[in-house]
Amino acid sequence: MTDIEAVFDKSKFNTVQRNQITLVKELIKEKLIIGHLGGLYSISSELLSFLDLLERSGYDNAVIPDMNGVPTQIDNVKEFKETCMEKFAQEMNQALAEINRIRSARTVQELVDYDFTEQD
Amino acid sequence: MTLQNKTKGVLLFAKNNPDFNYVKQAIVCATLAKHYLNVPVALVTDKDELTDDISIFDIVIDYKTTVKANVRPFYIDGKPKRLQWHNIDRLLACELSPFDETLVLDTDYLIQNNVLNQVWGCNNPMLMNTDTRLPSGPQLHVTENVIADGFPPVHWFTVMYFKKCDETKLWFDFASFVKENHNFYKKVFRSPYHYYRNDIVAAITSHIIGGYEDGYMKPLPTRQINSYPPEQILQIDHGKIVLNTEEYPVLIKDTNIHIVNKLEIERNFNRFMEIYA
Repeated sequence: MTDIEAVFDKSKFNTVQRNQITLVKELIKEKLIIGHLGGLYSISSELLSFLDLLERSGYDNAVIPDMNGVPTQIDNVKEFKETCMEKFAQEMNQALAEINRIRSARTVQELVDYDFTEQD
Repeated sequence: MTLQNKTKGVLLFAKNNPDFNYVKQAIVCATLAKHYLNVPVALVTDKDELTDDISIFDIVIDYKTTVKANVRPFYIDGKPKRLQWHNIDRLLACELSPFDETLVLDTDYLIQNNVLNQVWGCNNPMLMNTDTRLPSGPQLHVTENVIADGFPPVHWFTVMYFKKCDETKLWFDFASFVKENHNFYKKVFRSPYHYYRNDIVAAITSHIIGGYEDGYMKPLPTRQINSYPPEQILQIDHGKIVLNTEEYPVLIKDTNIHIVNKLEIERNFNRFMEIYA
């Protein structure tokens, strides 16, 4: 039979791990917010696709609602799309590294140890 | 005036009491704000009471409060204590701010990323969070979520963005009116808090100005994470704070956090300075 203490240790580990992953997921959303010409936009695959559609349809500028639903003018669709794409890629890469670090941890100590890095 | 030449910066209020050195906390707060946001920081304080080096601040506004200190309960070393709380002049932020666009921060708010830089030039005259969470999970303290049935959501004055305009001035003027008639409004809105809270005044103000509906105040891009006593800081590094919560340790990485257990900031003052100053 499995040692009961090991079960509780595993339970605690999973709780801490889940909390750290939740914090990372929330942080991604936070870091993917971009302020542009007065609007606050949440960069998502939907926004990126829409900007791409606008650009491919020949729109140099457009009015799109920001995350609070306020219609906001985008003066240069191509430039804004590129800015959003770059930020999206950068933040996602950082998030992936952090998620991998958390998944590689095997103890609560490693989960909250900021010097702990993903092992090969 | 164009968007480019509008001034922007962080505004802090600090007045020490016998239990907390708010100026010391403000120095930590300003150091992190400058490091991550790279904007000037102004401090509103009583210059005659200063004992710390305040050279970190770009602007110091001398302000002598004429209002009696608020008194509210607080836990220090696990024991409840009634403390002096000099938060009553906070509603003068719009009047006192030297900037066109301002981020007002509590001195116990620690910035660890540059996300708040996205608010500059925002279309909304004000931004403030109404949602909150704890480092170890959702906020379960029901009075911080919904005060009473039908009560507007608590507005977290910990961080507020505003730009100087007629709408902002109207909001602050009305908030001052709610403050002056606090006993009346706290009964009308059935607030369970017997002591004064700017967060509650902000909630009532937004609810009334918003046409007796919620949703007037739009949220900031950052989350409101509150670490309450007896949570303690275990370790600090660049962009990282490990907290000892009641449940388990939590690593707060690249994330802003409101350390309500202010003594922890004072206790780790040298470490913060070592990393960021």
